[in-house]
Amino acid sequence: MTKTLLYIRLRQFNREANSLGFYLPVFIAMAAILAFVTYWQYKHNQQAWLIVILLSGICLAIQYNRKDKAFIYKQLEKPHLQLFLEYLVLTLPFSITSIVSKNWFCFPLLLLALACIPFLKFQFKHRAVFKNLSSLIPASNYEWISGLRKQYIPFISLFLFAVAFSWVRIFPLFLLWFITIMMSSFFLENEPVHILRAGNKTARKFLSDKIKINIQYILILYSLPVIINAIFVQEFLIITLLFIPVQLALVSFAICLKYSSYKPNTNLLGNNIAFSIIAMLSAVPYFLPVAAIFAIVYFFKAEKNLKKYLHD
Amino acid sequence: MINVQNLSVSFDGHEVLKKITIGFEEGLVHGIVGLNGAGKTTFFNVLAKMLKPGSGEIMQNSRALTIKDSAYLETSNFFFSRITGNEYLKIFKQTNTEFNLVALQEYFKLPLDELIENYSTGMKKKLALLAVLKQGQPIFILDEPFNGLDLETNKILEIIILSLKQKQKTVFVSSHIIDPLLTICDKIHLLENGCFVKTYLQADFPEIEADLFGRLKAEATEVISKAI
Repeated sequence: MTKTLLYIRLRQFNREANSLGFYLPVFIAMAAILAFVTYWQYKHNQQAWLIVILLSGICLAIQYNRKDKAFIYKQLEKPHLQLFLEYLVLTLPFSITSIVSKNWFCFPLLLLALACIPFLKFQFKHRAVFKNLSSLIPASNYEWISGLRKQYIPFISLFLFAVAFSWVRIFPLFLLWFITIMMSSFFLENEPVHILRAGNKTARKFLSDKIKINIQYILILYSLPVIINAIFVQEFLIITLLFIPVQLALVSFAICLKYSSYKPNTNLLGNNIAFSIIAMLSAVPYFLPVAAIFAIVYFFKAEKNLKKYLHD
Repeated sequence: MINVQNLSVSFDGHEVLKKITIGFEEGLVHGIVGLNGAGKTTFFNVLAKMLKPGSGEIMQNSRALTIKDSAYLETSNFFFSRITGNEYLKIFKQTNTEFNLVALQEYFKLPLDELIENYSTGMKKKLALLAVLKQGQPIFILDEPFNGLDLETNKILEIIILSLKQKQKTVFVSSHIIDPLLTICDKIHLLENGCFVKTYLQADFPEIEADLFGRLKAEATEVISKAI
């Protein structure tokens, strides 16, 4: 049973990896870099045990949110062992290297934490927060309503921090950039076709309207901290001025990326990685236009794909 | 008249619908029955323009059927995560001017302020049905609408379908349970292996069960009685 489950997970991983397409090598490179960074931390940093907390936290979040818990506990033999092995395989590249460092105790510590997590069987039932959100955001922008409900705590916190520190160099822009990345995750879920068709729009009109409304939201949301930042941090004015168009391009890219691979009723978790890579590149000075270029390229791909669902 | 002409659909070389040619009178309730894999859902998907046929066409009074002509209630209902029933309904423009949510809620009793993911299967079906009714398309396609509904809502759904007929709408409805179809349909069409093989008028309805399950019943009775 354990072998079967791990085999199934491997096949699921392969499927996700294949969906990444040409982003796969970048994803592997990033994972390798991350594994090396954790190794370096174990070797040189006294506080490397924080990595154990981080890895345990990630596994705890997975345990908290996963939807197959009822099935696993009811149907599998030794479900706790199965779940433990899953979390172990997931964290191994970022933990095993601690054994050959002065922080060797991190690995058994992680094993202990991972062994406890499968015993936490809580079943999370989402509750509707902000029930009147559709009076503020039209229901046709369901991605925002859904996304804000999922991530309102980090979203509002980051925004308030950005406003509070808007007079500081770079820092508020970094927070807003993080909000943009969070916003892109609003576009990882594919709606059913009847929602897509609700507005009776052509593919191009649908895409341009979606991009326009999101641009409006970003402008409304970011204008206050960015204007304050531009006033107080004159020496970085050029960065502040370039920041907004890059964020608009990033969100446009997130929308186009979603609809370029749209299939009704599915999730596009692979897009998260693709978006993160472009988002990171767009923070590097020479690569600023990357997001805009990708947004344009993917707009046409998205239009072509949507025609299958929106045109007679 | 809705005319289906030489309609074929294939998946991976397997022909699911085989050059179907049939006419459906408008303003009637048409039941579509068939055993599993007969092609009912594929036919509905083509009718609702969710799927492009390999060949053939569907015409309504000599013009091609468009996306805007039909409202489709699918067998499995998908929504968007973390939105409430109210928000879901607001996504759809009210093109049916007579649609009265308050009046329908008297019978549907949906917790519209709650997140849809916390709804039961029957509640999700009812919500999807409300969205379909909110739109005033001339053709309603209901794929297994009775699945997951309680007895009371089953009866209400029958009343809704008959009301749609009164309003001159054309309704296509499929069901694995024959009984409700016998009450609401004007005609029932039998789909077998991707072809419509017979159309029953109301007077012929008693024959359906024998035609549909006759062979299966004879074979299965013998095999099952030995197997258990």
